[in-house]
Amino acid sequence: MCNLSGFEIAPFYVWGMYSEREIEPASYQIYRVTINDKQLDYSTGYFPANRFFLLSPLMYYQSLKESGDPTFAFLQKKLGQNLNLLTPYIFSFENSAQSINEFPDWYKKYLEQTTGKRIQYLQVDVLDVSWRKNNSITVDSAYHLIND
Amino acid sequence: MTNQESQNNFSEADSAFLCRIVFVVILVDLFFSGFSNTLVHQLQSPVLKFPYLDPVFLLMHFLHIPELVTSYKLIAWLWDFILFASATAIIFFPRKKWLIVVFIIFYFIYYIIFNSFGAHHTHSLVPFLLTPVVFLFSKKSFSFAWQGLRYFFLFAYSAAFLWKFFRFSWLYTDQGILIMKKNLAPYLYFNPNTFLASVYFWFINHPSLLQVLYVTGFVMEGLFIIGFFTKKYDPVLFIISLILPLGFWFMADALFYEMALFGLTLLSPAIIAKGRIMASIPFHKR
Repeated sequence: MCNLSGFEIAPFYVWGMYSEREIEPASYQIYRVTINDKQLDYSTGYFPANRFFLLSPLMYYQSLKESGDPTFAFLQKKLGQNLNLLTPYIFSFENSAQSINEFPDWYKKYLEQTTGKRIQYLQVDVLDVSWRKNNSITVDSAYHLIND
Repeated sequence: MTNQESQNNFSEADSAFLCRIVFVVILVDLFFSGFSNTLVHQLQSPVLKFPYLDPVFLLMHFLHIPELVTSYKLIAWLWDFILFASATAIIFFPRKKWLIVVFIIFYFIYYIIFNSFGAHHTHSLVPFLLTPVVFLFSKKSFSFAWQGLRYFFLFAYSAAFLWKFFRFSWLYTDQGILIMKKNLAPYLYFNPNTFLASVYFWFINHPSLLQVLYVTGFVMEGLFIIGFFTKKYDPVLFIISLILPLGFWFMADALFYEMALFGLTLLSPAIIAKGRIMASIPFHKR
């Protein structure tokens, strides 16, 4: 029943992989990571779990900056005024502004761990790309996510 | 014990052999984690957590356990050491249940850390978390627990089929190509001139073939429903359980190779016994 309603309790998940209808977006987003003026190709040469840790927290950081913390929003929606009762404990679940601000430093350290290189300069850009018919992907627009 | 019962039950030596296989796979994966920079001490004290709506994750963060383990270098190193040491010890002493308990506790926290600080609750580590649990059961109950795991595995792929079936995603003719475009965009942007890229571009230019692949995977998942009614086709399902992760990798650049561990539950006790004899692994009851 939990599974049917989409409710998950680790490690008993909803196994609905790729079952949601895919809608073609106006553009796809990819990340361009530049370390010491050299572009990092994270799509090859890294184990899947490594790529996961290079990309997923980055996507989460972007979404936290743009739309706020989904866990906090969920608790607020479910508990309403009663959320005040949780105020002393909410920091356990919520990503504070401080931790969001600390992310670029953490990401730099994790990239140093992954690449084995000392990073003087890090830049992460979000690229909006689209597919062309001649087997190519073109960049429509880009903006800085991290410039450190 | 009747002949029928002996065909369905594992001997003590066979369950120990299975335990060894499982922990060899887990140990190899832990080494992969080391090469992937995803062991606890390699995570560099991550700062963003993602408990989301999951009560288990909310509880763990309420208790500050993931933060405690990842924030202190010494604890993080100790955590990784115990994971490696317990998995290795179990391969040599598969009957020592306390070792399995230690491994499960430490791996469970690792699982929470990986998924929460990785900012996505992945399914991939579930087989490594659940499979060791069945080795905690008594000699008498082991075969039932192993069957329970088999049903869980059948449920996972059957559910994947049913979610697709009732969401009608198999009817949308562009589902296959859109999954590939979304997931392969980074690879093809950075590496447009490799042989693999040319294969991907060829498929993207033939979207109907991608849809055939998607629907084939969907049907393969559906075949796992048969396993609820008979074990006759388990060898076929075992082969499919090896093919599906390759399909996910090709279509979506996601390698769920861990799911193949559950595939062991589709092998009969006779095959496991034969494998043990071929491997000539001695078994000591102690």
